[in-house]
This record gives sequence, structure tokens and C-alpha cells, in this order.
Amino acid sequence: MKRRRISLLVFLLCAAVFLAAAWLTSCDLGLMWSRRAHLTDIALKLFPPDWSFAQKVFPLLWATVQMSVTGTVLGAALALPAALVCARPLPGFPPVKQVLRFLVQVLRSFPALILALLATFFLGIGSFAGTAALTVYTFAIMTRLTYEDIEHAPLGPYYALRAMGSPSLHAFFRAVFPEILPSYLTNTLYLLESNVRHSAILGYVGAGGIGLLLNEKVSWREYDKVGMILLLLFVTVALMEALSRFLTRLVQGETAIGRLGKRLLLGTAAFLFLLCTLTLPPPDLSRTSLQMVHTLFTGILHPDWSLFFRMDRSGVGYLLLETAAISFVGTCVGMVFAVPLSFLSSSRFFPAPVAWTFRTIITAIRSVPFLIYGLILIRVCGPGAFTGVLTLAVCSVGLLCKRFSEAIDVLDLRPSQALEAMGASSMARIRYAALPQLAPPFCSALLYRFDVNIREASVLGLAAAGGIGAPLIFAMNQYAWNEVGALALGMILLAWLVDLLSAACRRLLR
Amino acid sequence: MLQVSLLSKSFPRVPQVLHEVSFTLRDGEFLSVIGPSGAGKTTLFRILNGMERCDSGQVLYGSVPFQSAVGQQKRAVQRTIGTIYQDFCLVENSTAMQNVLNACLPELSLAAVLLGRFGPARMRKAAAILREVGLEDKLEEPVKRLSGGQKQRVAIARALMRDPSVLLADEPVASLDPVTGRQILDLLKEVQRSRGVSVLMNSHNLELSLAYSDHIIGLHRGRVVFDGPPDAVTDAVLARIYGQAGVEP
Repeated sequence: MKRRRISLLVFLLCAAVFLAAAWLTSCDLGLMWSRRAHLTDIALKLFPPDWSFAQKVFPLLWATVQMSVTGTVLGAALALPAALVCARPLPGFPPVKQVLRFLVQVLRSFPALILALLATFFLGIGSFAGTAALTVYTFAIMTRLTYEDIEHAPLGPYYALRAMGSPSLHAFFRAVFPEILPSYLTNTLYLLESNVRHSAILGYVGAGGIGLLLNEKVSWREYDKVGMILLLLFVTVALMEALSRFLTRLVQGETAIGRLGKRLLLGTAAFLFLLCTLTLPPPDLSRTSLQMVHTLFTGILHPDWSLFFRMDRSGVGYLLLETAAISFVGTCVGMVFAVPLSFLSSSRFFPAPVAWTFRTIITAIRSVPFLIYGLILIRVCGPGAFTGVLTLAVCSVGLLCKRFSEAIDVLDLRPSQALEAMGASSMARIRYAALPQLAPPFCSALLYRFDVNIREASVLGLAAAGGIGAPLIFAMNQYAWNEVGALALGMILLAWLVDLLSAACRRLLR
Repeated sequence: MLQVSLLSKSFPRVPQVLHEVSFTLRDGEFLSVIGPSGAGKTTLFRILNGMERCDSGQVLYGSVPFQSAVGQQKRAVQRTIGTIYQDFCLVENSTAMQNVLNACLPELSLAAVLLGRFGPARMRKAAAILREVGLEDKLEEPVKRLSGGQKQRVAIARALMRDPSVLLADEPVASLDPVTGRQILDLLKEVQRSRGVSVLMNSHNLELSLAYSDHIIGLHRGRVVFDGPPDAVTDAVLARIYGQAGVEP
């Protein structure tokens, strides 16, 4: 009974926050409905795509894949020693642990796009800057995930080996590493997938890949060419996902290949990585100078405090509130659509053809970089936070569906079968046998998505869709480093707050 | 020979977990430490295998004082002790063979560890010991696919890999069913006889402890209240060890 009351309270609280956030972001479904023709208009213009344009897209698509593969592999490889230093149960100098954890938390507060923009100031325009940004982005996320895995791994075997007189590093590699390896590889594959999507927009800030072309074609309203780019991006993302699904099954031990197969796979992976890395164009350092780096860092380290205490719409406080509100409403709206869609895409509850159709639709939704949604929706709803909400909602549908269907795939079906044997309908089985089991993983996916949306919301500014992103990017492009310092500090604080909040929610869920 | 004298240990929240504990484990002896939960059995174990330090008193392995040893010297002693645990403490994702080979880590360089190069002599020895504990057909099986009894056999094989003179067994059968528990204790007894290893076991299972041991130590609230052969354990002794409702021994 008490639990029920707490659930009701949490629900009411969420609803209140949702309404307040929707008001703040001036959500207006009426506006959306009255201008719906614009949406279908653009969507229809994407078809048929301009097939002759494909040969111009391929080299840029390759650059995009190249950036993501190199960035992901390097970032993940660097994350392993860093996670070793950060993990609390392993021996080490505590202040060093604290400093590194703090640094990782700071890096994690920024989306790949902001890192890429920063990288172009050091490494010049081109794929090299994009690769560097993806490396740092992957490094920060993977370090965090890996040290958390180490902290949650069973440490009995590690201490047993230590008690036998093993040095700590030896014991770590033989006792802890094998236990975290599957999850380390799964996370790396997941990041590789999402990096392909991220790197598709890095071109916007001059960091290489397909983004620049995409931006150009969207602003020139050459929608048939945009359609071609999106189609090829969809194919790439679908291929990546299929590959990653196969590799994940292999890592989790559900599919087995022989020793020769394993060697062949490792060899191919190593070859691909080397091919991607060695053919990267070198950085353009002609405009980088010590003077510039010095100005940049002194500027950032001396933030413009007046921005912090300004109470109007250009103050850090308002911008952060707007960013948080956009992500909250976006995540909630995304969830409303994602729950039914993920059930429809599961062959465990619906016939295979239905499931397959919905799965393809979800992959298609996911394969479009979210800035593109922003640019299209802005033509429907005009610039402002509401466009940001809609953009994040669409993106959240795609990504939440993936997490949700993964949870549905490992669901224990016996309670559902018991209900089926008593003649219950599909709906009743979902409501009474599946949802109670799925609530914890769904909530955890939602929290994760909210966390990611906070960071992505700060990029929406690029498409004039509200939040802290626009002022930050303007400030960077005007070399106003003091302002950048203030805005970045605000983002770090927001990311940290959300982190604390989601940690508290996770404890409640357990 | 393992000699424990006047061992005391306190934790900030739990004073006097062990109070002046003294006993001797002779070569080739099977000794059981019995006592209720919270009597200090596990703390005693952690001190004996070097994972915990005592506040005062002495632990002598042969003639080496263990509690004051550090670095190389401590590791040298740890190499002569084999420990097996209630929850096995095996690496679930690694094979039985890899788990047994993990016992050799202290002698290897980090590079050899990273590459998994243990050398043919150690591989042969590990395989031979796994055969000895009855797992000849499970060498390359990941531990997560083994049963509880088989896991404990792997853990025993890992302990034997170092040719220990003392085997510490912390509740070795507590996670196993009664039949498997007896099989594991039969194996420990067999190892004790054939290799001349001394075994120090702590167990909740009074019946098994009395049946398999040559020597019993009874702990109550951190103090030794009995030290003698199993046939001297009478109802009065048990009352002293386990206490009776409302009656202080």
C-alpha cells in the first residue's frame, strides 16, 4: 500500500514537472497540427532520391565511417587503462583517482559536436579534427562505463589471487578483466553505432564527413539529394547494426565460431582499423599557434561571471533551465511512442512480418542524424524551444525503442505463457505479465536517454531550436572564450546535477 | 606447522572480534574451527591468509612471523598457503584450466600474463592436478558452466597448483548440497593424506566437521573455548561453543 502511494506521488510529481516544462518550452500541438502540411510536404520531396548523386556521397560517407571506426577504437583502447586508475577497489593513489574521475565527468558533459568544434580550432578543418573529437567523446563515456563495470564485478576472485601473492595488475588482468570483457566489447560496439550517427553531423562545424554536404543540400532545399544522402546513411546504419548485433551475440557467447573464424574476424577487424586510421588526412596546423591556445585556455579558465547572474533569457540560468526542459519533455513524448512501437517490433508478441516492418521503421527513424530532424521541423514550427522538443522526441523514439526491445528480448516469457494458457489476450499479457517485469529496465533506459538528451539538447542550438547550444557555438565562433567558459561551466554543472538525480532514481528503483 | 598465539583483532564498530586466540596446526593435520555466526571464524581466516592485519599476537608459518611480513617476504609465505572459499572465488568467464593456471601469477612477468604464456611445464601440471580432482573432461570448460561441486574442485586444484603446505578452507561446503559436500570433504581428506598437507577448515556444519577432523577448535565471541580431538566434544562443550538461550557459557 505504501509503495503504491509512493508510486502515485512520483507519478504526480513527474506530471507536474512535465506540464511546467511544456509551458516553458511553449509546446503548442495546435500549431503543429495547423502546419502539418509542411511536414508531409518535405517528407514527400525526399522521394524519389536523386540516384545520380550517390557517387558524390560515397567518398564523404567513407570519411564518416573512417572517423567513427578510428575514433571509437582509439577512445575505447585509451579508456581501459584510465578505468583501471579510476576504479575504487583497485589499488592506487586516491587523489589521482579523484582527479581523473573529475576530468572524465567534465569531458562527458559535452556532446561530440561541441568537442569537434573545439578540435577544429586546434587541428584545423577536416576529418582529423572530427576523429580527435570522437576519440575524446568515446574515451570519456567508455572510461565511465568501464570503471563502473569494474566496481560492480565480483571481486572475490581478484582478492583470492591477491591472497596467493599475485601482484595487483596480474590479478586484475586474469580475474577482473575476463568478467568485464563482454560488457566492454558490447559497449564499444554500441558506441561505434552511435558514433556513425554522430559523425554524420560533425561536418556542420567543419570537422569532416558527410555533414557539410547534408547541411548545404538542406539549406538549398535540394530535397531529392537530401533523400539520397539519408538513404545511404540508412543503409550504412542498418549494416552497422546488423554487424554489431552479430558481434554482440558472439561476445555474449550465444553464437560460436571456430578458432579459425575467430582469427579471421580479429584479422579483418585489425585490417579495417589500420585502413581507416592510416588513410586519415593529416591535421591542418597552419592556423594553430601557441598564442591562440594560450588565449583560448586563459579565456575559458576565466569565465564571464556576469552571464551567470543575468536573470533574462541570455543568462546561463535560463538557458540551462530551457535545455533541461526541452530534454525532459522530449524524453517523455518519445517514451509515449516508444513503448507501443517496441512491443510491435518484437516477434515475441506479434507475428514476424509485423515485427520486421516496425523494426525497419525504427531503424530508419534512428539512422537520420537528429539535426536533420531539427532542420526539417524548424520549417514546420519555426525556430524555438518547441522545435527542440519535437526533435528530441523523434530521436528518443528511435533510440528508446532499441533499448526497450533489447529488454523485451530477454524477458522471461513464462508468466505471459501462463496467462495465454488461461485464454488472456495479447494486450492483457503485456499489461499483467510483461510490463511489471519491464518497468526497471525501461526506467533505466529512460534515465539514460534523459542524460544523453541533456547533452544533445545543447547542440539543438545549431538548428536554432533553443537551449544553450546556440549561444555556446556563437561564442566559440566569435572567439569569446570568457563567455564559452561560463556557458561550458553551466553545462558541466547541469550534467553533474542530472547525474546525481539519475543515480538517486536508480537507487530508488533497486 | 602453523602456530597462532594470542591473536587479537577489533574493528571500529565491532570491538574484540578475536581475543587472544591461540592454537597450533601440526603438519598433516585436519583441523576444524567451529562456532556460531559472528564468533570470528571468517576474520581469523582473513588474518591467516594475509588479507587482514591483526592488532596484536603472532602468526607463525614454520618459523616465519607472517603478521609482520611485508612485500616479497609476505608473498613468499602466501605462496605456501592455498585457500578455498565458500563462494569459490573463481573467474566465471575463464576456463577451469585458466583458473588453475592463475595460481602461477606471482612467478610471471606482466607481459607473460597479458599474452597468457604460462609455459608447457605449468600447463602439464595444471592438467594433471585437474585430473587428480576428477575433472579430466572439463579442462577447457568455462567455469560458469560447471556445477557447484565441480567449481569447488577447480578451486581446490588452483590451491594445489602451488604445492601448499597449508590449505585454508573457509566454509568449503556451505554452498553445496549434502551429498556433494561430503564428496568435496572426501577429496580434501584424500589430498591431506596423499600430499601430507595440513588442512584448516571452518564450517557451520558440526556433523561434518566432527566426522572429518583430527582436531577441533571451538570459538565463541572471539575466544577459544575448546581445543581438543573431536571425540572430546560433548554436549557440555557444544553448549559452551554455541551458547544456550539466555545462558552465558
